[in-house]
Amino acid sequence: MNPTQSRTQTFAGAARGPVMMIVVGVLFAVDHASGPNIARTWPVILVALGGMKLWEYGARKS
Amino acid sequence: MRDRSIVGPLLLMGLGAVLLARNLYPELPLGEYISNYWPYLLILWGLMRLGEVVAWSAKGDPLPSRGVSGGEWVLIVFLILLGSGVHATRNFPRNFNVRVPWGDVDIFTEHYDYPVALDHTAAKTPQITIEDFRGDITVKGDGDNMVKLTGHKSIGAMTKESADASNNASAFEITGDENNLTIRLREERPRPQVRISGVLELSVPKGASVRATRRSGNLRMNGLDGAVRVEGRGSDIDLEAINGPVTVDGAFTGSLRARSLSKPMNYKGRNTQFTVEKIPGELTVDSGDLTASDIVGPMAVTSRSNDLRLTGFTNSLNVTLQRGDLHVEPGNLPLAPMHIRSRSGDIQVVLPEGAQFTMDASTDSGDISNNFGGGLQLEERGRRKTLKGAAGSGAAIEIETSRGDISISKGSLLSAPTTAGPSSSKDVVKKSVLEKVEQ
Repeated sequence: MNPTQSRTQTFAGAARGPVMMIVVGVLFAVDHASGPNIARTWPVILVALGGMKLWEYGARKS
Repeated sequence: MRDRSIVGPLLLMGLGAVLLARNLYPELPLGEYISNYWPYLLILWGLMRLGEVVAWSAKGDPLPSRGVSGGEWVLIVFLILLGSGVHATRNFPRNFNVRVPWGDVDIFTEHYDYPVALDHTAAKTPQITIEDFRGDITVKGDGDNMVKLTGHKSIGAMTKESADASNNASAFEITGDENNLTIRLREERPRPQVRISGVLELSVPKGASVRATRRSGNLRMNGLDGAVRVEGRGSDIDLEAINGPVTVDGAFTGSLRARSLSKPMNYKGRNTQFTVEKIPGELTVDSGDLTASDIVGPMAVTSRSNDLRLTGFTNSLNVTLQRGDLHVEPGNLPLAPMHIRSRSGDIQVVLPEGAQFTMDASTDSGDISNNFGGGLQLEERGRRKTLKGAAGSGAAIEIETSRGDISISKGSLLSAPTTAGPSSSKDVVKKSVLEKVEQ
């Protein structure tokens, strides 16, 4: 593993938390602005989490 | 070595600034801001954290294994619970149609009443300003050139001595000259543990214009020829027989009732806003739901999550509704243009026999039923349905909803110039309901 790969892998891991915060915030903001209810949109959190994990896998493989 | 995170200090500064603003401007509706905008704090927090990670990465600094620490996640969960809780509590009365007394609950205190009786000479058309104080006030216009304030001051305190001391250090007063009078509660040394409120009746010259700023309680106004402006926050508002323009702007949790208003009314509530030219009949906003009968347009309504029922209105109508059902029944012929846009909710339009109009109705997900007949064509394209066409040549009726059913049916008029209609709005509602049952 060269230093660039290690950095990408770490970056994906480090960015996961902030991105998840933003996703949760957006879902609640949409809910409070009379948009789709969080009770219906919560699976987006799982999709986002899966996406971030895939990004980490991809970064590790390359 | 990577720099320390600056998110924590920034959040602390933000929290301090918000609490400082609350202390400097006590009327700031902080609860409402938190209730509606707390998710943006989460987004901002996430963006700052992401920005830091990007900046560290660009500088080649070592990155943390996790962008958000365990302690932060605990704080985030608390923020979500607090924000959702405040939001749910503030919207509870609207969502469940139940009114919860809120904000003026006194625990462990007794109420002591002290009489109020004041008067002041006034011009025929004075400007009256009612400054914010807690409690109820009724404003009545009459023939005298006098302003009279009667009722009682109510002091909530632990002991009678404490209440007496607060009574001596406070007084309702009428200040100013004949043309410009102010009614206010003067407090020499306001003490937070003692709550002073009033239950007052204010008699003013009929030609008076009144501007009332409210903090809590009910407001009633009756028989005024001047302009009326109500702002701030409080409970019920009841306006009757006002011959000047009316503006209501604020966060009022109770019901609004307006009857016999002969000039335009402009209402800016938390969830519903509307303007209407005149209200010869009655208009109410209760638990957020707007019901109006016998009103003169043009009328424009914007509402976030409430039901609307408009019967017997004349002139044009413009409705923008986010979530809620709508029932519309115009009151005379020829029809005026109607533009109705809704994101989610059923729309029911009852049109009088013989109405002439051009219809353009569409729903992205829902049904359209046409019980009016005429030359209207129903088209389906996937889940989207449209009803287009014309019945004679008349005003445009445009209806657009993303999710909900649209129903067009025949009803009867409140007062048609060409036909002998029923005499009261109740008859009309009864008749149109009967017709719908027969269909």
